Amino acid sequence: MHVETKDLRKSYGEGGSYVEVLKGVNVKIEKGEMCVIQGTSGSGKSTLLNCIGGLDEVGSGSIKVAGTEISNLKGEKLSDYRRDNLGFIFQFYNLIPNLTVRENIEVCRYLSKNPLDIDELLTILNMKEQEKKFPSQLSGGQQQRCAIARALVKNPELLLCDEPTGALDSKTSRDILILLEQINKKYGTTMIIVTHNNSIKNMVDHVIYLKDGQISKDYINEKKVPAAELEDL
Amino acid sequence: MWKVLIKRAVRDLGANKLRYLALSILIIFSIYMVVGMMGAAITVIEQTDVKDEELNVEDGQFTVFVPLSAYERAAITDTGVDLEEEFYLDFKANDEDIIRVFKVRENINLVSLIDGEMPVSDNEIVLERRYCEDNKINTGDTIIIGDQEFTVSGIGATPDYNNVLRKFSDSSVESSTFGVGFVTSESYINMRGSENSLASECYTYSYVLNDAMTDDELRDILEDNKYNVDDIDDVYFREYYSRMTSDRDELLDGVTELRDGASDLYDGVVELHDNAEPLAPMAPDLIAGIEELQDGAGELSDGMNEFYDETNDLIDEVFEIDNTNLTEFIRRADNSRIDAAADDVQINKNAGLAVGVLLMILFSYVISVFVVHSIDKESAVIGALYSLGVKKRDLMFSYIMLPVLVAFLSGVAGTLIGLFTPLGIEAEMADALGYYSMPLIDVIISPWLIVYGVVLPPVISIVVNVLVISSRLKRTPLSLLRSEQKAAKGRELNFKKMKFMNLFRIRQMLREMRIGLTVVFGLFISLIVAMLAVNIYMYCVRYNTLSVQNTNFEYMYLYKYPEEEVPEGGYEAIVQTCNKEFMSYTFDVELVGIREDEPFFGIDNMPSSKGEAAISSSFAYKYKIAIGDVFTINDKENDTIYAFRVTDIVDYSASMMVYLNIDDMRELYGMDDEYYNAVFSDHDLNVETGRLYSVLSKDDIRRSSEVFFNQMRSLIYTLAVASAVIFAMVMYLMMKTMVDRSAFNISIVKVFGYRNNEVRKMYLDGNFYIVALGALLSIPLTKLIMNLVYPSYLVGNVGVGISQAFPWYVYVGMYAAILVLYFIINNVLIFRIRKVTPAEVLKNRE
Repeated sequence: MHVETKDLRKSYGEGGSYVEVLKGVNVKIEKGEMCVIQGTSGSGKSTLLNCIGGLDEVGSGSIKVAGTEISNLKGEKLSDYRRDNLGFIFQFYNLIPNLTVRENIEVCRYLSKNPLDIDELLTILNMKEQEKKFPSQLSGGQQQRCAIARALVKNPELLLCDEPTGALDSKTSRDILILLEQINKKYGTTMIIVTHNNSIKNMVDHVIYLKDGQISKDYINEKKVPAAELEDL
Repeated sequence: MWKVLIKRAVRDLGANKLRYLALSILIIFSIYMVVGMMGAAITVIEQTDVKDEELNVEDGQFTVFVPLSAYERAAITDTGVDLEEEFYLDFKANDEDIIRVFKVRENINLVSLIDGEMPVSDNEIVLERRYCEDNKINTGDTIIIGDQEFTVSGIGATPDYNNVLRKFSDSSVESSTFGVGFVTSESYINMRGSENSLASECYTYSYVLNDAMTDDELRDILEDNKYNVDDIDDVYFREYYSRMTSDRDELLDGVTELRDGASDLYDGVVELHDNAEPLAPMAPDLIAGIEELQDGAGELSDGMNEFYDETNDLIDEVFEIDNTNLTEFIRRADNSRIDAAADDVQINKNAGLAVGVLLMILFSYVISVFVVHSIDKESAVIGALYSLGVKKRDLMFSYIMLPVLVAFLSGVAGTLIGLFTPLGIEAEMADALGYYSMPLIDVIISPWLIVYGVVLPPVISIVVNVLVISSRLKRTPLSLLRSEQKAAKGRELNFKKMKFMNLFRIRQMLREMRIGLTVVFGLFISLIVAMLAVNIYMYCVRYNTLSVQNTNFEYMYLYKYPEEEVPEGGYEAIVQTCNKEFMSYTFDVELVGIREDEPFFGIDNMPSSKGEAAISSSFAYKYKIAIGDVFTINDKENDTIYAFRVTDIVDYSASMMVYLNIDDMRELYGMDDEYYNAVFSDHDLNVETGRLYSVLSKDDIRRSSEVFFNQMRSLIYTLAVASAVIFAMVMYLMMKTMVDRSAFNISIVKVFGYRNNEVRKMYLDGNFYIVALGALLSIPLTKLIMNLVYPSYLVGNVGVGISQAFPWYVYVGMYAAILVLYFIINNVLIFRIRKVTPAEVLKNRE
């Protein structure tokens, strides 16, 4: 088991503004699996991703990633956990504006003891020609490719994607999803993708639905469709 | 990774080059000024020590009534103490100036030549440098001194006239009209014989103790030396002495006559007895009567002899004439002419150190505001990097690298300019060299100044930025990713009756409190500089105008040998030079006994009893003494400390004076009822110069009062401009940052339809309150600081006191100047607001 949560609870606010976002969530994701977490706005899907990524504190319960309990990690240890295990992809890319594509990737390359080759990544991501461009000179899709390269260059075992296609058009979204699929196959990277998009669930191994902070559906997708064949993206 | 981050910093620098260039220029200018100022101070201080050693500066000096006899001299020099005759005469030069002429020194206080050669022939002279500079005299020029023409063989300086004060009690140097010169011994003797000097010859000796004895021991020896009246040829002295002793001689003559009369009577009676002896058998009663008469005459004669002796003792006691030869004894430490430049610049060194640190903190803080702005702008990126495992220290390094680099490079540039170019130490030394008479000195590049200039800026930048940035980067990755802002300050404000625009401004002001505080900090620092400039200006102007305005006499004659009758039209007085310490300085204070009817000082509440005194305003301001206070002054000549209660403060600014009733003064010093040694008058009394120590005219005071302002003019302008530039630059950069930070919000309100002027009102005009309030608090605060610092540390070495109070319109003027600067910058920034377009909203939303 690569990622496992047990009775995960998380709440915000207190008194009248108290909201329990996660109400005892239990998930199990195997190594190398592509997993989608879906749900409506406020269902707790991003909170669950952030808890697994060590970005948000857990109220109670446990999270184990590659056998390590991370819910009680703090400060430097939490940073080390993210540094050694995780790659993150965000909806709005969050690239450093005054660094080129290559330099944005290089920033994270130095964080890993076993990084991937940048040129190989750029080739896979079809970004070789853009490597010297700044983010402001790229399209949204190219920026997201760059963000993916930045997340992957550390050669993480777990890739967390928060609405990776949320800001992209249909064609670019498909390209990005194909890319994620290829990476999963090539590097065996476990991926958790949080998305609103209802089509993406069709290309992954594992689908989890969250509703009001609880898992409403959790199943293995037996009829996986290649990303290239997804409809209604 | 650092390689990449360095690239990022360099690009950031390129993107904000104007902003960083402006700050860099400010840092370069500040470090250059501060390092140059401290370098000049260190050079002057250290080189003064070197030159003092090289030129064998005195340990002290003393003045005597008549030159030491060979025996008296030997009694001192045989112990190992070195003595140098430094007799001098003051002469008119080129009709209007005064040159104090010495013979060339042989051992102590040697002349350091700056140009030319020492005098060889009788018509050659070496002149002191400052007089030459002010009068544009060069080596080879000629000058008329007394009635003799001299060729200037050289220009030099001596350590005992580093501060070329004519009198120790002078408040400032007046090099345009007074200087010293050195001639050959033969020439000096000739000049003495010419009788053209303005006053009698002054017999001053300098000494170097060589550890043979202490100053006090030497003084004791000198105090035991008495002069012999018969050795003195001076006609004025002899006339004065004979007048002083005429009453005594008359009495003595009368008593002698009485004694001699009684003796003659006795001799006559004895002779009568001898001659009457043959008549004894016939007239035994006659003989008995004569014998009785003889006994009586004998008793009378004995009695008269006894009376004579007793009267002599009494006369010696009552008519005691002090013929102690020593008239003045000054240790080197108390000599305001020696090492004055080094004392003066000491404050520059300390002030430079503090000002440099303050300015660097200000500029580092300004830079940190930019960095905070960048962090806020890039918070999502930072959150993403944290998510990927980048640590705070890596980003901290990334963000402080540029400010530190800018501070470091600017510090290096400022240090190079300050230490190694003519604009630095040499230019900064011009102030000291333009006032004090310094020998040629080598510029000293102190290693710690290099460390200060190169290391201080980056270190302060690191400290300030780490402190400011650290809390910004401490936020959680999630908070950063969501670009969460702290709850906007002022949100809770809800003044129902307040108009929207005003409420908005207040909220904007509270939101940008950091920037507002930086503006106030910059305002405060620049106001300290401005207040210093105004203080110097007011000090100079006041001294200049009040010195002349409050001097009601035209002439003050100080007598060495007073005339029997006070010259017609003059008001006699007694002047005794005392002194009083201030910080580490000792200043002359004139104790002046004046007539109740004198018209020049306007004392309303004349001291009516012993222990009371009126004082000059200069003295009152210098020592912060008020009416009713008790103060002390030290009469070193008589080794006595006097205490007085103040009855009145007289408007007199030219020097520090303490006024007593002349009769009380005579009683205090045990002087004759008619004694005086000074005369004040409203016109020239044509007193013979041989009788005088000195003459002080109102013109002298006028000229000397202009010296301060002439000396300080360039500094005042520099400080005023520097102050305005610092404030304008800090305010512009901060308000521009404010606009940049609010660019998204501004674009939104523009989408709503607000016009540029309305946007300015909303986002910038709130600063008016910050600046107005900041100035309102900073002006009195900086004035308070200046009141504490200026009289003590900046003009502590000046022997006059001037009121520190400014008239109200000066404060109003400063306040108005600040607001004018604010409005100019506010209007300049409207261009910045115009550049923010509604499209900014789209750009920021990606």
